Amino acid sequence: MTVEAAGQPGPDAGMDEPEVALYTAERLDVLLEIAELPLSPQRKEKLLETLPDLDQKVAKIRSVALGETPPATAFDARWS
Amino acid sequence: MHSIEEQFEKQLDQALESNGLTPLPEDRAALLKAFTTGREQAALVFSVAEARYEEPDLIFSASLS
Amino acid sequence: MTAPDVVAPEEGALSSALTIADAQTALRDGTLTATGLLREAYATADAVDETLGIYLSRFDETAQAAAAAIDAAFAAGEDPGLLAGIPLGIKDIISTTEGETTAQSLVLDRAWGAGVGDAVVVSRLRAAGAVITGKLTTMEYATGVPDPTKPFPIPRNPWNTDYWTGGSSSGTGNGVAAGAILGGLGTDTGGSIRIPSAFCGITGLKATFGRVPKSGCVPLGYSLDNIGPMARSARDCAIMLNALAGYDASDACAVEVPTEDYLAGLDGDLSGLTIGLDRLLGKAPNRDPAVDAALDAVVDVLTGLGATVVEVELPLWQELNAATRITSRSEAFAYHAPDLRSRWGDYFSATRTGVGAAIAFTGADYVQAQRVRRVGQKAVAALFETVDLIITPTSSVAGWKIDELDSMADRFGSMHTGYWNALGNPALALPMGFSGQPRAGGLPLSLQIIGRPFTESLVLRAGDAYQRVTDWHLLTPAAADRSETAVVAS
Repeated sequence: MTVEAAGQPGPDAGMDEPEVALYTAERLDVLLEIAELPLSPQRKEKLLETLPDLDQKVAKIRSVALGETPPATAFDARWS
Repeated sequence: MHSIEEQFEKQLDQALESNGLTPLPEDRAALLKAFTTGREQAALVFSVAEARYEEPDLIFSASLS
Repeated sequence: MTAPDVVAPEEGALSSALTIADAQTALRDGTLTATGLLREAYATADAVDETLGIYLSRFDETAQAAAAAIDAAFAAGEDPGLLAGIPLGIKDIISTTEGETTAQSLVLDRAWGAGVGDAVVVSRLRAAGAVITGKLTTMEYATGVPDPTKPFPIPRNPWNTDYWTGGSSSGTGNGVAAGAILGGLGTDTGGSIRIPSAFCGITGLKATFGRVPKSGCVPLGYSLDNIGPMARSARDCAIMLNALAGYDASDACAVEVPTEDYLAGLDGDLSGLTIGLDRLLGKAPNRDPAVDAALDAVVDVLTGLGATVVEVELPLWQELNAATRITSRSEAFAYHAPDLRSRWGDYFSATRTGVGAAIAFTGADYVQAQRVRRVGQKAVAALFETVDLIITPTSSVAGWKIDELDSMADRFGSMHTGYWNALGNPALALPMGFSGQPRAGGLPLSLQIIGRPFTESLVLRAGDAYQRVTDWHLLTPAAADRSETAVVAS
């Protein structure tokens, strides 16, 4: 099976901009709703500060040219 | 208080946006139904008490190539 | 026991109930030639394909050359292989050297298949002497339902052409049922070998995950996909599995477990075996009462063959089906996300909404699904300490009309296959009766036989034993009737 090499950025490559800004309070509220995580306003504020970094990381994963590369994990039917 | 349907619609819209998807109008109903079912399925797998301390059947190998 | 109102093939006609095993014998004793067999297969396809939607592309020239070479080898006293001269089709998500691989989609880059050439499984079939006849219809990327707005055939059930074949190995299902091929390859991520086998009245095997290498196949669910044989009988599936099974390093999910001769144990005897039956009552939104009558008859047959049948209840039914759905959608979305973002409308309607719905799941949901699969494996392994095999209906319904497919989302719950994809066990689907009358609009019913991981031999032995004393698998639809007389050696 032909597999394309995953694109690798050089050390000086700029971080890709996320396609959609995820770091808004309103968006965070929806994500917390899905995760069923009740957070206080103070904790939400702290969490909001971490989102741009996560956002960038997700964008970076999405920017990698994976071609037909399968995941680095496998399922085993024999586990019991 | 939003109804559960409104909640799912809002979640769907946000998920579409953050995943960069722009579906056609005629896909809306099927997507919402599938999204709603999906959240129910997610709740179901999290309801399995025996899975609380179980390892996933996801074998990572440093030597996979 | 024979089935009531069995329609026996006409004496002297090339029966579309011809099995691979029959053809093997006939090719070696000179009753048939590979060239003649292929000619008849293609003639059948010519007669029915426009209605049934079996093929996406045919390889007439290369197949004829391959058949001629096989005939020459036989004439020279050689035996060119286990599947020598047998016409087989390939589901069009599996790459072949000939032609294009399309995944029945406008989206797949046609250069992908050209870069792959033959998938490992296709190479193995050719090495065994099989004649590869062409690429068979599927659902787009092996998921969803047909879309009449897209430029691809709608696969129809040869038993009643108002009905869908089931999917996604649709062309393999109706191709075998109609006699256009003697067998073929399908894939199964949530039931796509077993459902068309069930609806078209043929036999199909989803082997243990990792038993048959899947490199060279467009992925749908990396941890769920299986490639497997579809043919008229369990014996035929065993013959094909002998060629297909075995580790290959090109597939990260392939398992280094020794293969067996899957024909060796087919002795018709089920003495001493304990078989657990779960009728799956109440598990489906729709239930055809004919299913339960058929299951009662199955129990009688298996008991008569020496087995003890006991009632069991499969654990975590809803949860493991949910795990399959979360896993398959998430894995498919990871593969399709770039194309869904840029080419949403080029996808079939059911594909894009089905795969796109993976946005409902978080990363944690996916990992949790893998933990539930592990819990399920332990629970089912415990069940297998009390039984040797498990049987269920493959589906609680015999099929759906093509004009009702837009409400399919409600109907997947009537199909009982995805549970075993979550776990990875081998599962065989084979005909066990009819809903209604065969050749009068009735549709086949199907039994599913499941074993412990890597016990394909036992699963196939049970299927073969059942088929030695029943004729459901030999019934042929009217669409398969041929007016010509038998193909003779030429």
